Amino acid sequence: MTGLSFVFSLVGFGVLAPVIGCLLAGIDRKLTARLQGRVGPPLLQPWYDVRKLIVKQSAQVNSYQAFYVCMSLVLAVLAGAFFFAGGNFLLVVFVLTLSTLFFIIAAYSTRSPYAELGAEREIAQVMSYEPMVILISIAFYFALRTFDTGVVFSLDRPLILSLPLVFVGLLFILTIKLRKSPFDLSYSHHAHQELVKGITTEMSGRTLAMVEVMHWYESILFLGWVGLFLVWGSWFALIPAIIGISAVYFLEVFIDNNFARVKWQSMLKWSWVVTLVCCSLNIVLLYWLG
Amino acid sequence: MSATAKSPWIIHYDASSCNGCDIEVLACLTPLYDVERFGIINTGNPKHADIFLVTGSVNERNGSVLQQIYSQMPEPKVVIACGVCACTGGIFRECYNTLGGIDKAIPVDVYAPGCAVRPEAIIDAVVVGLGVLEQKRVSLASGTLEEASLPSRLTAADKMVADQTVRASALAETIG
Amino acid sequence: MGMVNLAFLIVFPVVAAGVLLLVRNNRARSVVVIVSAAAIMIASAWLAVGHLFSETWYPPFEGEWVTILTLVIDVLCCAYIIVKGIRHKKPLAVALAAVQTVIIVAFELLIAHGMTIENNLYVDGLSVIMTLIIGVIGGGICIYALGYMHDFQVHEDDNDKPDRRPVFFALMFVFLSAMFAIVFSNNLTWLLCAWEVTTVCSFALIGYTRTPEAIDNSFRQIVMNLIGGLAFALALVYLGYSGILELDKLIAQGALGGLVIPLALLAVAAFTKAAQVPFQSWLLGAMVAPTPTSALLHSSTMVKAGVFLLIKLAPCFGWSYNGIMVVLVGGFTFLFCSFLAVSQSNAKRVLAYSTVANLGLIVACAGVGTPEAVWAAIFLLIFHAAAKSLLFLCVGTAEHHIGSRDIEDMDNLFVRMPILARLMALGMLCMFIAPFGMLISKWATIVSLVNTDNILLLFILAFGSAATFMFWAKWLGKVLAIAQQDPDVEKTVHPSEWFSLALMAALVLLLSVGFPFLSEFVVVPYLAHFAADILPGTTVWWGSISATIDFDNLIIMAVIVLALIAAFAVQFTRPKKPTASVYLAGVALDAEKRTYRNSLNGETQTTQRNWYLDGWLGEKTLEPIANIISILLIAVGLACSLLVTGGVL
Repeated sequence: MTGLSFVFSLVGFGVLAPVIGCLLAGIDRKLTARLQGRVGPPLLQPWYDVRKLIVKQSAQVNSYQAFYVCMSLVLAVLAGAFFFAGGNFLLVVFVLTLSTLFFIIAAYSTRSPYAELGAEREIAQVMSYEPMVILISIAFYFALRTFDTGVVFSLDRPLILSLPLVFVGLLFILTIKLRKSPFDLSYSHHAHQELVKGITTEMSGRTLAMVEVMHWYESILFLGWVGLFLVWGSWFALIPAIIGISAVYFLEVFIDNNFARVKWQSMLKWSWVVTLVCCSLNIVLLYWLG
Repeated sequence: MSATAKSPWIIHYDASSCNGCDIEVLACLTPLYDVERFGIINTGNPKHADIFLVTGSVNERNGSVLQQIYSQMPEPKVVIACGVCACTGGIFRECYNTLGGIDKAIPVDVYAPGCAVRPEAIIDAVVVGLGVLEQKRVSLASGTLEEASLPSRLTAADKMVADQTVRASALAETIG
Repeated sequence: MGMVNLAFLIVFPVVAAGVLLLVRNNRARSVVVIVSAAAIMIASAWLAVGHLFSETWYPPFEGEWVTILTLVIDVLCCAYIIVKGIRHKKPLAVALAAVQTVIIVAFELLIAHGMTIENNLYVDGLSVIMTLIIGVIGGGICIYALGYMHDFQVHEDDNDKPDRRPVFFALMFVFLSAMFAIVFSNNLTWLLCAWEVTTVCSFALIGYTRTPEAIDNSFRQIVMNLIGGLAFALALVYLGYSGILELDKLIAQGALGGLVIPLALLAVAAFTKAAQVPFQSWLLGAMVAPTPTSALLHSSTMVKAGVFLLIKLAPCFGWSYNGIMVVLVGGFTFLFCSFLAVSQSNAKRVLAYSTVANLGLIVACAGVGTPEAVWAAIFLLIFHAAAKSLLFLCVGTAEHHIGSRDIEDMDNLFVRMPILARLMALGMLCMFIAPFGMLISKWATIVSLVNTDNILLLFILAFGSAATFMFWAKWLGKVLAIAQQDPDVEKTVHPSEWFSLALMAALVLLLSVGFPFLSEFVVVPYLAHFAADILPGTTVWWGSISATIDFDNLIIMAVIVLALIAAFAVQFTRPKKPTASVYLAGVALDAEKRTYRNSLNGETQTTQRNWYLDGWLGEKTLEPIANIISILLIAVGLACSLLVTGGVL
């Protein structure tokens, strides 16, 4: 990752990611509606939502929550910029974890019962997916002897061929990261929950708008992770990559619509089991293949 | 139409409804009526909501709850009274513990009558409410939006005294 | 000049301790402690100026009489333990101490006597780093103890306990002297003597309050550390027979694959000192000691003596039976203690488990043995010392002002003790999250592990780190929660405590920002000098030495730290009034106090406890498993070293 590529990536990711992320969120809602036999909202509905939230009256329960959320957003953008500049994967993971931590602290700072419960569940979510995320980077290193994501564009064949099981593990935790059922424990878009709006309960107006925009950025970043497994050193690679990423996104929406939320115990247990099995078998496979 | 009117998020509160109207509210979300077409989401959190949908009448217990939820919604916001109980107290109006329609506790922008209120009426009320919402957004932006004042005391005893006064004067008139 | 400085660092604290033992007046004691601590800090810094960047320096010092002195000190230490053990009816401690005395005396008189020692002392980059930790952090903690022990004594006076503060401060300074001796001794008998002195200081300080619990825990500590001391003494006997009594020669020989048995024994000695599973329980028990003791002995320095020794011996490990044992014991300790920390709500126990876990990580790095891993281990050591002492001091001060060390009671600390809560948050951030030092060191650990194909340990690291995130994040959340305008109770914190807290916080920030430069100008040159001066040319796997993480990435992290500092500085200077109250389902009575109207028209306060996953990660569930695994590992490791030496393997 050079300074110049980072600047390009920062500008490119900073501008394009919310646009694509917003459209993806719109597609998500449209698809969900269709899967349920409804017409659904307009494609640009997430955009309208955010614009509305920005003009809402400001109502803060303390002067820190908005600050923490803002930090969280900035760091998420930074993580994405590092990733798309071809930077170190572990760097991306760690900056993203810091972003998540600020989001959690934002909820804790309110000391609202619902937000606090949501924050605790968010911590459980982090605990569920973090081993897999670290092991993805380790498996990446075992396959390519580098942590720099940029090298995937100089490969002869896509990474998924050498890390198929790690890819499956990534899909599993992607459901947690994208806040989809059955793992949308800390908050989701669906109404009438036991914890109101969970971690975002006390966030309103612009603060909530920042959360929505952060979600767009994160979606693109995570789909970038999926893309990491699908591309290789040819322009032609972009076609299967885009098809693959779309298929994964559709799969996530499909799962979201077909599963009820699970308890945190099941989430933790299953994500750790999947992580252990997928990563260990795949690393054995890597050694076996040489 | 501004984004505010395209993205009305709703919080639904059952004041003391018999659940008839609540079922109709939920019916709006089903594929048959599909209110999400208008960007409507049922959030369940006043801090996220733009439209306050209330079913049922106000009594001594839930008046303050209504006021608190209302005051926790950031401006611009709109209140819709769903069903005849929410509008006037309905068949419970004369009950000893009932204060009347929800406008006894919070300012109401749109009244949607019916027992139970029909989904079409709810959707219609929300669409009317969107106009009010838009107006409030404009006045919020220009700084002319006035804070609604809420009645400070909400007791059934007050209402009974008031009702008795009305009855006494009516009796006096009749007797001449 | 360097020699004088060295002698000053080792001798002066003992002199100060003697003075402190005699001084009964509070004000006079404050003066002595502050002046002595300042002198030690300056002397440490002075030593750093001379030797931080240079190659290994062997001070010309014959000192035959010192060896006799160390023998006397060893015997005195053991005699002290025996007397204490007889008084409190602890036969095991008495027996271990007696056996150890016999071995050491026999060793000195029969084997060591007459052996020529080339260099008794040495100073290199790592010992200077340790000197700075001991001098600056240790000195700071001694100053902190002035205020802390004042509040502590007020509580003791209420219970009609005598004022034993002279003994407390004397022990702290004796301990500093012993630590300096550990990091400068090339003569292994001197090293063992200093090692034993730190053990005894720790023993006396754990039992400081003389409650039955404190005495039990102090004996648990002494028994476990005597086992380690015994292993050390046995290693010394073996080495004496092989004609080696110097640390640098031991490393040189060990790196070529020799001396398997003494290395295994020294590793066990280091495990006990660094409280690795199955010896972790002494460190947990040590938390009954006054908090400055926990900060100085049981997190930032004494337990570091164990990992310091292992880091020194790192080139002797790698892919050998000993290396595998060290890596696995350290790795499993990290895993299990990170899990166990999740189940604790007592702040000091969380800190203790986290300390053991991080020491485990350092041990594992030392076991991996490559320069990359040692780079990671040194940074883990530095950042852990700074951040953990900050956290211990914060918890100690908080305990005296809110009356509890339970994390659940630290709710709303952000309002009740505004400055302290921010410092505590800083310490926690530094412990577990990028861009602060510990996490970057952990990153380096991952790099060194993937480069040596240590797959099992990578899995351990991945799962252990997830638990680490959980127990820090939930505590951080509690501390940063803002609920109501509680009275500010930190007005009565002593200036001495503020000084030390500020010093630790400044160190944490300075180190985090200066990480890339520390790596470039101190640690990497140290590794190069170490390899060139001590290791024989045939140890090829210590060939190329560079920073484990690219300079670029380190700079990125340092810049993020700076940006965070700036952002928080701006945020803290403009507090705003809240414009809304929290959502309590519309039935809030006093939203600031989080009370609501319940179904019987009464008032109830909402309370929320954090998750401790006690059923899954509690001590009852995990501790037996951890102990069994670790005992098996150590047993197999020792057996393997015997078999290797015997030519069977």
